[in-house]
Amino acid sequence: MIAYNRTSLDNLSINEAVVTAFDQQLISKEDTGAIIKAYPVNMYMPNVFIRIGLFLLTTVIVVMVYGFLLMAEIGGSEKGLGVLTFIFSLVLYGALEFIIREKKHYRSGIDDALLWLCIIALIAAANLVFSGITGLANAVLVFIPAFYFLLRFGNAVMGALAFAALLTIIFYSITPLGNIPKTIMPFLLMAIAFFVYWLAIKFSTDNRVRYYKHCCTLIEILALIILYAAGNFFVVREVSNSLFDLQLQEGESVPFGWIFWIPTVLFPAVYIFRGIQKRDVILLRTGLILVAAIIFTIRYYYHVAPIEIAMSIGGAIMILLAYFITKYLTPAKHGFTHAEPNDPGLAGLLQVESIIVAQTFHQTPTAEPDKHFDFGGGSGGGAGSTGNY
Amino acid sequence: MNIPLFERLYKEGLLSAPSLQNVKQKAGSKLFSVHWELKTILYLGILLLTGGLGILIYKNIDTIGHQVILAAIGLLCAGCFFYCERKKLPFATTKVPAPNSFFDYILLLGCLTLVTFITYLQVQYIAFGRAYGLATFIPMVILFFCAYYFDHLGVLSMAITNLAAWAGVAITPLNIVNANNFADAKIIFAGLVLGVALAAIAWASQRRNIKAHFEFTYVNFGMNILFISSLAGMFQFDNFYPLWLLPLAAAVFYFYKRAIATGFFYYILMLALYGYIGISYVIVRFLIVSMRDLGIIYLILLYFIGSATAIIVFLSRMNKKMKLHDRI
Repeated sequence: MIAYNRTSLDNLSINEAVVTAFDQQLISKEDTGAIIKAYPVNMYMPNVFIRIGLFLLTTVIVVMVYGFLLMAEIGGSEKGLGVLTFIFSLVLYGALEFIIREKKHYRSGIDDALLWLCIIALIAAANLVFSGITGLANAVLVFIPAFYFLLRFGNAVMGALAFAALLTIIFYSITPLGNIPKTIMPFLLMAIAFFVYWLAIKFSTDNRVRYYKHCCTLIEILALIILYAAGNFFVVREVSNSLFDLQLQEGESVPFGWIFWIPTVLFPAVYIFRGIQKRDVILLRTGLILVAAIIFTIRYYYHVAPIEIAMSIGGAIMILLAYFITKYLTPAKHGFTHAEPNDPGLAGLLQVESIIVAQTFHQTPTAEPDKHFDFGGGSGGGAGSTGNY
Repeated sequence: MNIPLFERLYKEGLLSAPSLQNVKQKAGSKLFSVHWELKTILYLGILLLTGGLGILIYKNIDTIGHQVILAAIGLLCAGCFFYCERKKLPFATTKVPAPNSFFDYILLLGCLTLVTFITYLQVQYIAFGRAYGLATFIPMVILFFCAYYFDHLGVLSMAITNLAAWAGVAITPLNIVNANNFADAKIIFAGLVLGVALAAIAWASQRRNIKAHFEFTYVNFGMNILFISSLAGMFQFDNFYPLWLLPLAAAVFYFYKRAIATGFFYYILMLALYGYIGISYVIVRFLIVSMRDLGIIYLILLYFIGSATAIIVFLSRMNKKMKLHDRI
């Protein structure tokens, strides 16, 4: 089913494991070189920045070619353009298959771009040909190609898209059925999210679906977040209020709304606990992020303290928490460490971190225009300064 | 660690026995690192704390009094620097690792409170006068000193944004286009000078081997402001817009050389995109001015298809060329 060459994919995963071991200085350079030679990867996989560039440029080319179609269809009907767009999306799909089979592209940016533009063209074509498509029909329209692309190309984002479309289909097809389905909707969505999470966990180590490992990871994260969101008090109250037209007043809640405070507060704690217990990065990190969701949900309905006091105290608690964990884990305990993982692939993260720091903490006032120091001895700054003494 | 895989490789004679032993041992004693989790918690904590304290002071300035606030900020700042000074590893001109991630962020907190302290003194008492932007200049010098003394990339980035602010240019990634008034020729030239200066500092640090790992940070800021200023000049000065291709070409050429020397693909992507925007602007504008019928649109579409294909070929070639210098 997968479009890429299977031997190359298998060899790629061997190479990745070996390079990781080499980075951790477990195996020698000669061994690493020999293994990579014995298991060659015959695929075109450029560096990530080149991939970004190829993605953007491919998009430019495809949009410009589509521009020719638009020029040809000036004055034509919407339906005619829809048919042309449909043919265009088929051509894009052909190009995608060609570039993978003949040119051996694998996540090169070009195949990513063609994949995305193909699905966008397909959905646009359907909406142009049949005007007035419902939300449910559009969800089905997204789900079918996304699911196919997931199977065919093992693309993680397509997997996430298919999952989201599936949930939308379920939501739209159940809501018209009456009040009881509406009431159990959060529980139904939670059950589905949990089931999908369980499936992803179960199959993430299965050798038969090894080409879909990346997809499993992203779907795991998404399923955990949806499992939480479906039971979150804020989401349940506000979504019910706006979609089912309940017209709740401030302070009012959906019937038995208090039940949703339990998962709102409990789930992140469970995620973190299980994450630590099972040494599961995904559970742990999702849990930590969702702690923020708890705080926002509570603060939205109960004004515990003015924002600045809450921020200061929260910030201080977090700093202290980090301090005590660092102290507790020096030296490493129970298989946990606070030391940096020895992975050259993460070296770029330090650069990203420093840029984020500069972006968020640049609180120094930019020199006011009339006071700033001028390069080239500008007269404005010099003259103004004398007056101020 | 995939043990069966390594055992298979060992059986095939591709892996030596000690290597297999190493892998097995490592898999048995694998530690779970919470390094980035702790860093994120610390980062958010400091962001919240400094933000919260800022609002707190702003709201209660009348009841607390300036001296008390200054004393509190000063104490916090002194505490942070005291901790960092005690924990830091000895200074060296090469890369010095931080003792732990907590240290990194306490240093950051110290620098932030120090900058706040100075800004506060300036706003309240105009302690540094109004001449020569001293109020921005002094924090900048302190930040640069701390960045080198404690070896901290985040503080260095803050120092560079401060240097840019002193020159009148906003350089932080999300503000670089919006916050600068590029209609002002002074900003454009300040941006050019700043970009060249940062590139020069980067070159010198790498050449003299003084904190050579700071090179990328300098180049990143310098490259972006240099390219954006050149493009802004091109868009702004109507009469001789093609002339701006000269500084653009010079920058592309210089960073191309640096990319080849350092093996950073990031430089290649940036120079390709900025250069492409510049050339496309000049060509499209020339086409629009010289022709006046509908055929122009077809020509522009054709130009973009052809030129984007050319850049794709260029990027692929560069990928091949630079891959040769890759790690293994």
